[in-house]
Amino acid sequence: MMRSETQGFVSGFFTRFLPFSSSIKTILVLFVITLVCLPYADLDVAITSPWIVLRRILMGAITPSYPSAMELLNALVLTVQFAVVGVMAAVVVGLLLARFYRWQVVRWFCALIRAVHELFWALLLIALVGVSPLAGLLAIAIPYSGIFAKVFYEMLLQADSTPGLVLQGKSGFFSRLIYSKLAQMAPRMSRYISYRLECALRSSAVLGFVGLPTLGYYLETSIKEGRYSEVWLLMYLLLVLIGTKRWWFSRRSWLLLTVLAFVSFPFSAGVLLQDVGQFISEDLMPAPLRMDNVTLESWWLFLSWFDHLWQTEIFPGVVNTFVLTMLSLIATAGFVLLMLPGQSVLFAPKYTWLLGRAVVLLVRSLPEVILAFIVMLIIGPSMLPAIVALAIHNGGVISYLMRHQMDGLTLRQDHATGLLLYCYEVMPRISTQFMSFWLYRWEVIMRETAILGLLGVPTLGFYIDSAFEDIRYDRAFILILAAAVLNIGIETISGRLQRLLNSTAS
Amino acid sequence: MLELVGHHSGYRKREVLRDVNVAIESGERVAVVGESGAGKSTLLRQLYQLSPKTIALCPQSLGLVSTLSAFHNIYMGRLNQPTVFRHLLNLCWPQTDAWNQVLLVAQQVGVEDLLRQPVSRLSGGQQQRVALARALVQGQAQTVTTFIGDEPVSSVDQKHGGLLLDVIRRQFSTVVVAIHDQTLALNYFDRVIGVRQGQIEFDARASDLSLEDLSVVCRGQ
Repeated sequence: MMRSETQGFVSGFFTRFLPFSSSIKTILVLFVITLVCLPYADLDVAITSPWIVLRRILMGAITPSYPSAMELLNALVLTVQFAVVGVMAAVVVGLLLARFYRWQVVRWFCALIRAVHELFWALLLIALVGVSPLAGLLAIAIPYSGIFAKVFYEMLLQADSTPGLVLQGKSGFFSRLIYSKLAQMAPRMSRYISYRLECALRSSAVLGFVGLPTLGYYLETSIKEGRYSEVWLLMYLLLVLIGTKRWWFSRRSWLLLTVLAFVSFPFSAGVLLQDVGQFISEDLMPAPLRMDNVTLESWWLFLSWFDHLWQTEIFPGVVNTFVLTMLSLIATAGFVLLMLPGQSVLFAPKYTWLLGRAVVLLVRSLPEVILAFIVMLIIGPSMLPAIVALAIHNGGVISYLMRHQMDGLTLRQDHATGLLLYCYEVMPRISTQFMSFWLYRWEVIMRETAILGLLGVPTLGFYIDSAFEDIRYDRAFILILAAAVLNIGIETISGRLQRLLNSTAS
Repeated sequence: MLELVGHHSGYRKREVLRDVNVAIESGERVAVVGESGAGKSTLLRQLYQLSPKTIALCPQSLGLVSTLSAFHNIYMGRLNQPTVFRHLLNLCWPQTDAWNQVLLVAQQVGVEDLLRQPVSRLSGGQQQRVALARALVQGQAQTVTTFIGDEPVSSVDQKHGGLLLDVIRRQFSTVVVAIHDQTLALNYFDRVIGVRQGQIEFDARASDLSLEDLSVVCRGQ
């Protein structure tokens, strides 16, 4: 009795003086952190006459064309192959890892492999096996295995254990796993795999930016050379590919497609296998430690080597990555609040919500890097294009997921309309869901900021890309590790916050 | 023989079973009666854990996999047979021999027309019959001789409940069933165990008991 009274007193104190829900408090804290970050952000608009470029880009949108249909077809097939084979291989490995996910070692391993972005995996693997389809395949399969392991493990935990109890001692290990657990998980698993395949199609396209001939490879060339009709045709192709996924990767066709993709995959093409041992002990090893007999002196050299790397690349890279992440996170929230009403029957006038949904489909289907590239052409190189691209894409993803919830709400007959309906009826009811999507996107945004380094924003990705270009794998490796640690940190914080908010909500 | 001696079980400080002594000889048919929360389910679960290899269990929550069809749920009783590849094949594409075997058992409990339906679409009584059929298929193995059921016929009327109990008695030599229908408990079993507040209140031959004796542990019925 005493305890609950004091609790009531304490919480009463807080509700009176801080009359906000814990969701709003979380947003406020993150907002203040972002304000602190603001002075460190480079937000210049460099190009003075954006309209000329914008007009050329828009002209390209209505005159899509491409000179070589064969090239397109090859790029398309390879993009799909990377995604399908990569995801399916990751599903198998992820299931195996999920089985042992209880072990802390496996958890750490999975956290590490999924914290490294596909593009960095691609750069590492290209260094190891050469510019080859195999490198692209593994670049998708490895991080996705880590993701699947975590998600499948959570699904396994949520599955009902009674069917397993009934079969105890009366079935083989695999039969029991398949019939009692996997059969229960199957619908959720297939939905999740389908969602991940969509992500993998984007990843696969983006792998073109590091030299693998997927759609992104030709997209980058066309953007750089200002051939906007080609850019748009390639983007339309990617949109159609993602938009029609549910038909070409359906309940009936997935198995056939997977088998075809596996069988026709050029596993050995272009593979120049380096000596793996040498790659690890020579190329990835920090330069001062490469000699045969490592002395005390070489450790001192290593320390100054690391100190130099820290001051010139790691520290600025981490700061810029963090600043960009926070600004994009807040911008994402703003974008969701703006986009959400536009696609709901509750707010948008007759059929205009269809337009809202079309816009959301467009922005969530295009990879951030490509969006950022286009925005950069219009307003010049700075952090701003990256922020806009991340906010638009992630905002699109969240508002797509939230729409279903919003349209599923049952409201009173005499509910308010317009802004009041939005603020008093709709947002409070979907805020918990919004917070968990949004906080989850925090770590996704952090991962993606890294690759925007390829466009010249000096995040960790920028330094990693430069290190690979200079063939300094040792530096690249340390920088990738730094990015991974940063990612794991954000993943942990966002996970804790999500659990905290969920527990206060229920 | 299944035997619990001076058995305690429970979670945290709340004891569900206190100092329970039960021995079930093979060939016996035992009904367990008592109010809800008396500890019947825990008692059955503990008995099952003594020898899961020889016992077919029909838990109160049925333990059906709702995403699978009735056929597959019944077929799960056959997973003790080799091989895993055959089970995988039957999962995607049921073979004739498996189908016929399942059909035969389904006919005994009256779900032969529902085999293609996902169990999530079946009614409570139909689901209960499917779970029973699964246990019956498990009982076809030489090693499985005992049936333990937690209210396995609670969703059907007395007459059909009796018919289902007959089917169970034909398949299994030893039967232990928690049941709330006192008439069925007296007529279909050799021995009745009354449980109250985690303790055995009485344990006697069914022929020596009357409905009044049972009402000691089943108030208000």
